[in-house]
Amino acid sequence: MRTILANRKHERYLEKCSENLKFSFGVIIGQPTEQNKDFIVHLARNSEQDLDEDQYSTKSQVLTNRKQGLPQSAGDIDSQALANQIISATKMLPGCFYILGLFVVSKEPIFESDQELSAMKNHLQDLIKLINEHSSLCGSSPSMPTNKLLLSYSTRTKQTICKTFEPKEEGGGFFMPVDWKYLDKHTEWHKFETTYEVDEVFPLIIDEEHKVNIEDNLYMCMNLINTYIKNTEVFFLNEDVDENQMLETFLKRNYSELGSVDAISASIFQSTFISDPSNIQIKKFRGSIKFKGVISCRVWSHPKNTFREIKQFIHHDILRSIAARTQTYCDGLADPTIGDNDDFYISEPPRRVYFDIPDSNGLQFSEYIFHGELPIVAAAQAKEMMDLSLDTDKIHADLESDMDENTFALHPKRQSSSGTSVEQREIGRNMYIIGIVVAILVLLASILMHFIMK
Amino acid sequence: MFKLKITSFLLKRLEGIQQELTGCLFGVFYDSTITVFGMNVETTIGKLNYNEISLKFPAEMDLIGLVKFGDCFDEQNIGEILKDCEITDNPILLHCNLGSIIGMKSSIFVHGKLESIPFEVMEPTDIYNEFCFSRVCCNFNIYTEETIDSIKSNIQTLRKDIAANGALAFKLNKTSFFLTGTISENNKKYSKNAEYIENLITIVDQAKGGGEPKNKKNKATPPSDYEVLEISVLKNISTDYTNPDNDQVTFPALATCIRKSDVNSKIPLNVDAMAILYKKTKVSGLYDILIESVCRALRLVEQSLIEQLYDNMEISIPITYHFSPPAFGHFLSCVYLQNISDNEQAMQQKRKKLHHHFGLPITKPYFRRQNRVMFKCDIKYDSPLMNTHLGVKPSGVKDGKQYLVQGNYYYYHYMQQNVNDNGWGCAYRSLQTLCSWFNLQGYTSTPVPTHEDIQRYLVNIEDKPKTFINSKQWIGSTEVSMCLNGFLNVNSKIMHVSSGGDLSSKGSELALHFETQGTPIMIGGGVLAHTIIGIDFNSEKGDLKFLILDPHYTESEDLNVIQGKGWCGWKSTDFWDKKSYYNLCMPQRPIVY
Repeated sequence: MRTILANRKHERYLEKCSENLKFSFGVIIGQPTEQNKDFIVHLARNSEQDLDEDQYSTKSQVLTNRKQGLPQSAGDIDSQALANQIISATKMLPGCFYILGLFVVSKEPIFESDQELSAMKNHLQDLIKLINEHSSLCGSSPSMPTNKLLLSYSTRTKQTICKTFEPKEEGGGFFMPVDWKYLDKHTEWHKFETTYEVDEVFPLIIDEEHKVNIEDNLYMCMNLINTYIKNTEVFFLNEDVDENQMLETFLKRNYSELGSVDAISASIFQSTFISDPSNIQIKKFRGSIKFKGVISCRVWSHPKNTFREIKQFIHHDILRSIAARTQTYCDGLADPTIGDNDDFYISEPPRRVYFDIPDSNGLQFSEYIFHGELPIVAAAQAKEMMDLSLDTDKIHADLESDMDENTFALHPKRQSSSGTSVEQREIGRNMYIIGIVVAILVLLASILMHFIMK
Repeated sequence: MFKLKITSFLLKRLEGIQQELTGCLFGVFYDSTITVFGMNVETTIGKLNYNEISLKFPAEMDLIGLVKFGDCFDEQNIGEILKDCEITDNPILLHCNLGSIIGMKSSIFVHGKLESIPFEVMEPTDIYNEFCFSRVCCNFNIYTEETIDSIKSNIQTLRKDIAANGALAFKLNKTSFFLTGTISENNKKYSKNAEYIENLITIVDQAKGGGEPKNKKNKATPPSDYEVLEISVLKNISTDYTNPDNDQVTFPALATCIRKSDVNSKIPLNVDAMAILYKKTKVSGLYDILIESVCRALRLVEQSLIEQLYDNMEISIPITYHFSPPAFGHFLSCVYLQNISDNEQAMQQKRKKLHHHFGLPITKPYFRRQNRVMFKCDIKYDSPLMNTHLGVKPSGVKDGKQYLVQGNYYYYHYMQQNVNDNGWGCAYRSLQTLCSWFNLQGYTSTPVPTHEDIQRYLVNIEDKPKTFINSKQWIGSTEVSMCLNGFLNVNSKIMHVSSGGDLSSKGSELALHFETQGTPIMIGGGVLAHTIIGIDFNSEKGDLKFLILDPHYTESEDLNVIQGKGWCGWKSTDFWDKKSYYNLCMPQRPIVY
């Protein structure tokens, strides 16, 4: 039977969810392993259907509306709200963690009601479908079976029941028992750090009307970079480590070298092999798109994992990070095409910042912020998608920096780009203002709550 | 104190120089021993030209001194060599008499003075025992304008990146052995299994499936050629922020730049780099040697690109080929362009210059693409075996002299290439062996003809009726000679022998053929065809044996069976049928370079 190891704090979190609301749901985040043992690292309640309480002046108004709008059962869960959380949360996870399933906090254990279970089956099916559809986010791991967890916490019995949902190809599916345990002790995590430097030029796709679609181009390049990453080797402490070796063996062997380090350093090596040198060609470009910069990468592994799994985590982390940046950037584009007169166009996708997961033995998730945005912007997203309240000192924005002004300054035609880069800066500034407004709203809401609760 | 060794290959070449001129010596320097491997000679009198070809030598084989033929002596050259000798402050000077190495003087520069130094001759077995080669294959791309400055600066940047500490990792092909730049010398893994380069050869042998290390298993058989370590390259794409030298702690995040009217090219730089390795070198020193070999190969590629731009040519991709002319005893790398055929005039000029550089006659091809070394990994898995006579049992002719085929050939026999020609295809197979020889010696790039190609050709020239195509009819020596002419433009002499017994009197003629032409001979008589690839001949007593390649072999490519059961081996004159007459097709080398 599959064993799922959670921490006592997760039980407390479920209890807390039940304090204010009759029904709540969210995502289960953890690390699956080849040993049929999964480690839970975080539970995040979905708050998208929460009402914006600032709109209402009195407590009774809030409560009335809450009763009307909030989901009371699995059937009330807004699939779109859940999908948003699944995608946004996946983007925030390092490559070593995945959304393993969904949790529901309700009065009665959800497994006792066929109707509730049937609704949850649909949501689990949606989850599986969504992860498959967004394969660039690497939401599933090969060591992870296609099944997903459904965790039920009953506010009446205070009991946790977890089962895996085994989907059937023809639709539907069934549940299988798993062994869910709360541990008082924290899981031992080991951090790995590396960077992936991109310095590539690709031919530009220009459509029949001589227009350049930024989004199409970025996605095309992203897919090419993905194929490169898949053909890389990862070395640890500059050594090629046998894939079957367990991390704990490696730790023992390199005890003296690793004594005081915070993270084990990994390096990514790209193959320079070509199968048929007689077939290579010079490619002439008319229009190009250059990718330059660094993807920082941090993953955490349990000591019982093999290096095969750790390499996979690192690959997924980089692929996921590139996809997350590109998607976030493209979502914010007002006009995806470049004007006819613009010869030179710089895109600055958001950069990665890390934030601490409280009480987790050093784990971090990440968020992406645009040029000029303050790191605190990440707090709003962390609250919304991960149900985490962050202070500024928990956000680390020092690993990646904004693009260096000189990165692309090789070209004399820089002036012509001024229009577009102003537009870019504009987006950045807007995001910055939105960020501050959200932060103020959160602050006001908490002050209000403080008085109401009194 | 220094020791000087000269390879027997080089001594033979020195002996061959009949003109008063100067040349440069190339060699390696290990363990206080200078081993001289190669040389080039001046193409314009009084002008040393080692700069033109020094990059063609494998990495680690560097300019090491000067050789003078005859009485000429030029002080100025010595000064120049002294300046450019990078691997030693003590260059070597050899002073040879014309056409002989008797009385050759060897000296070494010590503190600006010439001192006499004795030399040892290094025989092939010792050379192969002490040295091996590495061959690194990889590909880098540069994105550049097609201008001299831009290409130069891009390749320079690339070389700088490669030379940075830990920028590359090398993988020993077919093994899981990696070599990274920052391995400390006391690393357990390396010191245990692979302290010296020779241990890497064992690792490769073991990975190929030989459980026992090769040197134990084959202790009795000395190596007959260089071992080549095939190596692939991985490029480090992570910034090492743990490196204390790197004070950068934040990295610029990913950004992209679109340039709509940018007109540039992505040029693949195909690197195929060789280095000579002293087997007793520590593995910890190998990384730097391999980096140097990659950089040297990149310079060759760069030279070729720049040359094209100077000539205002449309850029073609430079491809590196390795050559090992039999007299050299070392590899040499040349870069040719992907789209330019060997027969074009510019290529002929290039080769002519190379022949001059190395004192080679312009009557035989040495540097055509077909002459390139076929490394084990380049040979297709279903390819026929090459040079199956190497290692056959001795002929047993007392005081005989062996006259053998010169160069390489493939052993073609029945049932290969999925063609069931058992009982009728022996002469076709012998012809294929002959064609393979011309192919491997660089005379042609025409693929070895199939049975059907041969039949079609004979029908086309109206030698045979149309029904001949796809039939199982035999061909004889005359058809073989016609095909050689048709496919390869090669003429043949036909020798008629009235009976098998008479072949015993043809020793001198055959000896002359192998000495001057060195091509394999197809012999047809009675119902059988064979290939003669050499003779062992005692001219005084008239004892003669034939080295035969028998095309009637039907089994798989197993050298032990082929040699053990005499499908390739020495045959006495009894081998030939006394009652049959024989025709020998003796192909003549065309004059090509």
